[in-house]
Amino acid sequence: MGVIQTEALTKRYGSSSGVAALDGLTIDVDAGVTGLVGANGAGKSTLIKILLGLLSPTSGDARVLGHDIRTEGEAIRTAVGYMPEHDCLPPDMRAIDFVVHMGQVSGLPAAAARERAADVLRHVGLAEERYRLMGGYSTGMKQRAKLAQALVHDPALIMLDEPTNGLDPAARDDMLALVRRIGHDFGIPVLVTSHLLGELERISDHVVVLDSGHLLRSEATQSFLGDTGVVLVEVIGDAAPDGTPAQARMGEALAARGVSCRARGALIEIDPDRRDGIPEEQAAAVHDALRDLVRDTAADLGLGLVRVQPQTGRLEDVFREEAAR
Amino acid sequence: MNPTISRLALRGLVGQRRGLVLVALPALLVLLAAVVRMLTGEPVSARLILVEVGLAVVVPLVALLAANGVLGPEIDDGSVVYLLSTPVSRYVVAASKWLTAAGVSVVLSSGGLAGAALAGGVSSRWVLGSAAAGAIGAVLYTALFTLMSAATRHGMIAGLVYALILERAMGSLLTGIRYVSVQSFTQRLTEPVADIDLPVADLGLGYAVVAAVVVLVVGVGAAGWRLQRFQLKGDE
Amino acid sequence: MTTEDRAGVIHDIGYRPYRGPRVSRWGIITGLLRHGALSTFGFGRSGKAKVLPFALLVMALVPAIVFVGIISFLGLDSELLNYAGYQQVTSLFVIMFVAAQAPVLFTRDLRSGVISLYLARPLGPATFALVRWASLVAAILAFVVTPLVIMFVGGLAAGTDVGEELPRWLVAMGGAVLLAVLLATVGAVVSSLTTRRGLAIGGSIVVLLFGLGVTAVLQEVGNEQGQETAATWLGLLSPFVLVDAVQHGLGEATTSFEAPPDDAATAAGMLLVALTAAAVGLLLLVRRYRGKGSR
Repeated sequence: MGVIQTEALTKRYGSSSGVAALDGLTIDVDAGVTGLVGANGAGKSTLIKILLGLLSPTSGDARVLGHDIRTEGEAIRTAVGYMPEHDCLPPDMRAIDFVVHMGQVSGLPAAAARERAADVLRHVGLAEERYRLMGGYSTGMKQRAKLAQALVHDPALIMLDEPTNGLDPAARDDMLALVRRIGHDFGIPVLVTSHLLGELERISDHVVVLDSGHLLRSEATQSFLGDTGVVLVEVIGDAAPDGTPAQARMGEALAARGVSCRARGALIEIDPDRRDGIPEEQAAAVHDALRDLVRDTAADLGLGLVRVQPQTGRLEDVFREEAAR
Repeated sequence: MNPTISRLALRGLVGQRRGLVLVALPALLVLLAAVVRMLTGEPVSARLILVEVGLAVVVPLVALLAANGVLGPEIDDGSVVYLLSTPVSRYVVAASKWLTAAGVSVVLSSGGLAGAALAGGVSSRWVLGSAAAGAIGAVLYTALFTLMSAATRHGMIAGLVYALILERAMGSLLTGIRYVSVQSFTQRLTEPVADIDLPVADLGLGYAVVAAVVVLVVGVGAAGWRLQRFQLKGDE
Repeated sequence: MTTEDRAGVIHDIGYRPYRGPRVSRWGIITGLLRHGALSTFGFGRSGKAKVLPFALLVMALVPAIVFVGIISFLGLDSELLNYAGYQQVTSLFVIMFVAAQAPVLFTRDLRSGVISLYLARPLGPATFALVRWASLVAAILAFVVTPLVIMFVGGLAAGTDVGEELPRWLVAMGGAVLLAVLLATVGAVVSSLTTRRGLAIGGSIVVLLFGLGVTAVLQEVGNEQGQETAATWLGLLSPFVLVDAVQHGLGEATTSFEAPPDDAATAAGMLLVALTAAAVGLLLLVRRYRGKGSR
């Protein structure tokens, strides 16, 4: 059973023709780390708030951990941990007191709350600083404290809204590693949002891409990042007598041999013919034949071959494709 | 005086909710006077409406809200650091802020009291007296409360403790309080201005003048001094 | 560079899930209520935060102790134990407490943004807002009920007659509870309307103190002009006057104000209006908190 399921979830502000923060969103989130990607205003925070019951949807259904969001909001909030994007820490409270209090408001008995608070603060790396007032915390420490309060009551699902906001690269790496650890080692399903595509690629098992409230894609990360079949070629060498640079010479030569290619910066991008109908055994032969062709062309022209690289996909491409449509 | 700071402080003061509360006080006072006049059909008791409610309650509260409003929110936010990192002298900052608070308070208190006097149909001596009392009280109270706002995060509470507990509650029990009560100074100074009799206990005019000057100078000056030694902390 | 080199390193000790008992909804409510009531007295923060509320509490109790002392040692008439009229004696301190400490329960959460965390927890916006309100009621009850208890018990110890004192005392206790409810509603609504603590304090003071003063003046004038009914109904403008009116009209207690209601019907009517206004106030409070969740 999926962790989060939505069905045509829609949230419109104003009249029925108003701005749609979410438009007919249907997704299915499983265990592991799920990244929710989108530009600012794409609907990521709105989705989380609707799932928590803080905002009511205009239409559509959704279930979190098997509970319906409209009727079982309390059950959902008991079992879910939430780390908001904005500032939410009282500056004149100590981290340990704060996390204990949050644990109790989530339903932990007092003694258990104290124990788990100390535990969780150690897990997020605030062990020594937990007796300091949170007003004096750096951004990184504040993000960790926010994460701690989301974890203290041992949730069955944790939702993180832009956890790496405002962090320097080192702290960002730490936070991403922690998120991955929560999803895989702690065994708690994670829904993490970001507008930074690169970092979600690194830690998510599954990516949901939103754009202006619409679902663009929802796939396992691997399928995005797999080999797209496109090959990048880079050559080095002398220009032709008439001034054509090496790369252009290579490109023309390849085109003459029937390979569809185009320039991309200092590289040549070769888009092989559609391989859909080609059976497995032949695909490998086609793959090798292309590389032999590239090698031979370069040798004929007397150019040095620097790179023949299969291009892996990137999340950016998803947006580019949509923009191109 | 830095007019930019004063102007910005003014903008912050008259915005939305604080502005509403600020204006509501004198407005309600005028309304009260009008209603009482309507009910009784004769001029209101100046002592009751203008002094006991107006001067003793409205004037300090308006001054407190104004003084707290020009400095308090910035210090609370931490955005005061932008102001303090400019090359403007901290004393000038304090004075400019005070000027805004005092200006707004004078307009509201003086106008409110005079308006109430007019609505209440009292003699013209009292109208003049109320306006004067409102103005003097506004100037002195804002100086004191500006210092409190700069000195502590609990400037509002400190001001309330001063105005309500020290001046009113304890002042009615211990007559010695009159020597440190801005209310007394204000009343004593207003008496000769409009030739009216105010319920201030025995207090020399000379003393009142000197005390008023001290409150003004020390209030604004010490506020500047506190800003000079201001340290931005994250906690309470 | 390994992660171990940096401070704030993340330790891999092993995460232990929690399989123990969870507190029921009601348990969470009582826990939050207690936590809130204690925080209005400064617990849970630095020591300095306790000074003002406790100082005010002490000042509110002093007259009660003095009265008991007078009766015990000077043996004066037990009429001195005016339970119903006690709130007027300490009204200033109670008002200051409500104005200064209501923001602790409302404005502070809104200011720091921690409200989002509370609303994402089991209780939900409506319950949370009401529990906060109840915490404030409980705190104010400490102010208004304790002196009455002191006077009653002290009076009994000094030899007053239980039969005589008990009914008077019960009326006053009822009035005290009503007062706490009304004051808490005003404090809660005012402090939830702004994120600036100073403004919340000022606003409460304006509504409560100014309201009290204005009501007294208007009632006095109304009475003089023979507009007694109007003067009586003006009591709705201030919780103190209203409670006094209800105590007088329904409980035949002595009154400290100028224009108490003559009959029980008027008093009951005023009570009804006041409770309706309080209910509306609470509705506004809940609505405000519901809206905060979607921000």
